[in-house]
Amino acid sequence: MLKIKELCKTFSPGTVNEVRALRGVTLEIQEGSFTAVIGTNGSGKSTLLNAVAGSFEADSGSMELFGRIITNWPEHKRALLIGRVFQNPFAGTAAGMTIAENIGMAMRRGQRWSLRTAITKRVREEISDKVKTLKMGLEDRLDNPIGTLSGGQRQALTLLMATWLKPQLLLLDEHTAALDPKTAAKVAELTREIITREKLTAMMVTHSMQQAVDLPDRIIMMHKGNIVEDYKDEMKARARVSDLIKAFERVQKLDLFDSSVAELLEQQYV
Amino acid sequence: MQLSHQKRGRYLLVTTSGRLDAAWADHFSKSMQEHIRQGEHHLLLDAAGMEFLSSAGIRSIVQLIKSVKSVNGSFQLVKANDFVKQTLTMTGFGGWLSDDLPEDIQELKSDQGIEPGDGFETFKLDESVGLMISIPAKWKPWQSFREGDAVRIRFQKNSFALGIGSPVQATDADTSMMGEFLAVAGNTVHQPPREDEDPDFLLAEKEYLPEMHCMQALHCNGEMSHVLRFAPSGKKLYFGLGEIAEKVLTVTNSELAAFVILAEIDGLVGSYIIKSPGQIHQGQKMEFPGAREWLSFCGERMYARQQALVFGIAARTPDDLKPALMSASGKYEGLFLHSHATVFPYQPMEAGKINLKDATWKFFNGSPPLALYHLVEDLRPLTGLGESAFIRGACWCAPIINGKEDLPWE
Ligand SMILES: Nc1ncnc2c1ncn2[C@@H]1O[C@H](COP(=O)(O)OP(=O)(O)OP(=O)(O)O)[C@@H](O)[C@H]1O
Ligand SMILES: [Mg+2]
Repeated sequence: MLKIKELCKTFSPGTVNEVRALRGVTLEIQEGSFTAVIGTNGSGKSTLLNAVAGSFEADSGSMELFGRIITNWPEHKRALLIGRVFQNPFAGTAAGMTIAENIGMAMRRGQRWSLRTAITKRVREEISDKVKTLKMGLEDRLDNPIGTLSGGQRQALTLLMATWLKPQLLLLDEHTAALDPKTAAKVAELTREIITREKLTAMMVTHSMQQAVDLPDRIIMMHKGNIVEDYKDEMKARARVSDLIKAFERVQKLDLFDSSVAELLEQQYV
Repeated sequence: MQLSHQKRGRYLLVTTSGRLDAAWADHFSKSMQEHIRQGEHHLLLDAAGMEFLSSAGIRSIVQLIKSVKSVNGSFQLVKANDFVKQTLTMTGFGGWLSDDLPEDIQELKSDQGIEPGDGFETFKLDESVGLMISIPAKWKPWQSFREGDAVRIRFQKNSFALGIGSPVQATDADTSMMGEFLAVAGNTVHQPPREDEDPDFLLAEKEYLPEMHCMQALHCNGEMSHVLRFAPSGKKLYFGLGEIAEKVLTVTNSELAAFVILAEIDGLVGSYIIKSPGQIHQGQKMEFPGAREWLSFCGERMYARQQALVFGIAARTPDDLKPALMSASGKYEGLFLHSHATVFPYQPMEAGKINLKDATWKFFNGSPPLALYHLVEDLRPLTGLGESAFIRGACWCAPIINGKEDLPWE
């Protein structure tokens, strides 16, 4: 289980570019829960995921993953426990290496190995079997450089690699956003399959309200570095896309309600 | 499929060519509905170039005829070829066919020439009638509120009102549910004091008369004396609320008048209560940011192309008087207003001198209201949203005819 307490992050503090990207985020994610993170652009969704992954040091607050305090762990150490997939299909893989080599690398995450470590026949079969589950015919192309694949194919493989060793936590940041609608739907379905099959604990940033309603069992909404809505259990079960859109409108409306509006209404509320 | 149109007297002659089938039916429906929205209620479809008509096409024509009938308009399909004629006749819709253009159509003459004036057309209903106003509940924001101050009002079929209240429940006055309401011809729409709840409504049907527990109410009884119709013409694209209110005072030749607007929306600007003021027990100041807990402000111009039903009171008063529960317009000097608007999904309206009860009933009886606002004039520099405005519609109005002594001045 992931426990985040009072997490704060300010970029470029004390300068004109200061951004308070996380303003005391507190969140507990239960083991086996699949949580969607939604919110307007710049609300801090990616920053939250990056903070958990250790891409930077948080200014204050703490993070605990399955009983271990990871707040001060370096990124590479957290990477042993946390799998990640980004929006950019070209981010998570090495383009020049073959599919098999890329996967081989993912399989040995955290172990000492070199490029020359041979992929045994048995391992190759294991790779082929798992790649088959993607139903993209990629099992026949294991020796092709991964750079020759389409974005959707690469994203499916990245997902497979990120979950190969059953991470304690899977972080997905708009991982279907750069794909065409049909491929996006396929990768989304694949995401659900893998998360359910492997019983993973996962967080997924998405701008697709439909995805947020369909895939996960919990939805949190961020706004200005805070969590402003949290749909879980029955609330999540009955949440519809239109409810989420209304929630968006609500926070945006609240933003527009400044002191000049209060003054206006004070005069005109009679 | 190609569509083109031409104004011919009171008719709009729409020429089609190609196929009216499943692939084009939607496009056809949309363009025809748009004509009706723009006030074209007499449609002629020149089908000389129509090659094919499928069931989907027939369905879209049936839909069109329904819309045209709902506004008392007319529809005819002229010059259809034998195939189209046969299809329509065999499916039982031959009645719409005609070989020739109607006789009263003018030769190629268009009356698109815009009438000079301010875009208003005024119809007198009965100049001897008017409305009596009363203020049975006088709560003012954000005074403290005692339960006993709520007044139960039963709206008659000639009642028009606005205020803050809650529908009467079995368990007497529940002060946690006070929100804005309006009543038009006895029918009420009220907004529960919750951000994400839709308004609810009570209709004056048969013996039933809606009742509200009110903490604030401006209540008028009587008949309307005039109906104004307005529509865009030339460069004039919309009508502001203040402008309509000014026109109402002029037409009714009075200092105090009430009006009902039923019109297509250009944009509404307003707010509504999201926390019942019935729960205020000590004087509350509308300060920032606390105000955000009590009120929801629209933030942008809302509900364009939907239909608004507004009830409002307009006053022009001598300098030393201020009408009760009304606020001064910043745009129109000497004009005071209080108005509430509810929003319904758009439906076209009949042209001409129409009856208030029938015209509004069509909306009360249709899809439920989408919103209810206390209208606000937002003249903040740069960020201001302006005032609410309407594109085309009707405004019924009447002078308030209370004796001078019992006018609601403060
Ligand atoms: N490395 C950085 N340096 C400076 N500012 C940053 C950095 N990363 C993020 N920010 C700022 O922090 C805020 C939150 O950014 P973040 O990427 O978390 O938003 P997001 O919710 O993921 O938005 P989007 O939906 O656009 O991806 C933004 O204002 C962003 O400009
Ligand atoms: Mg992001």
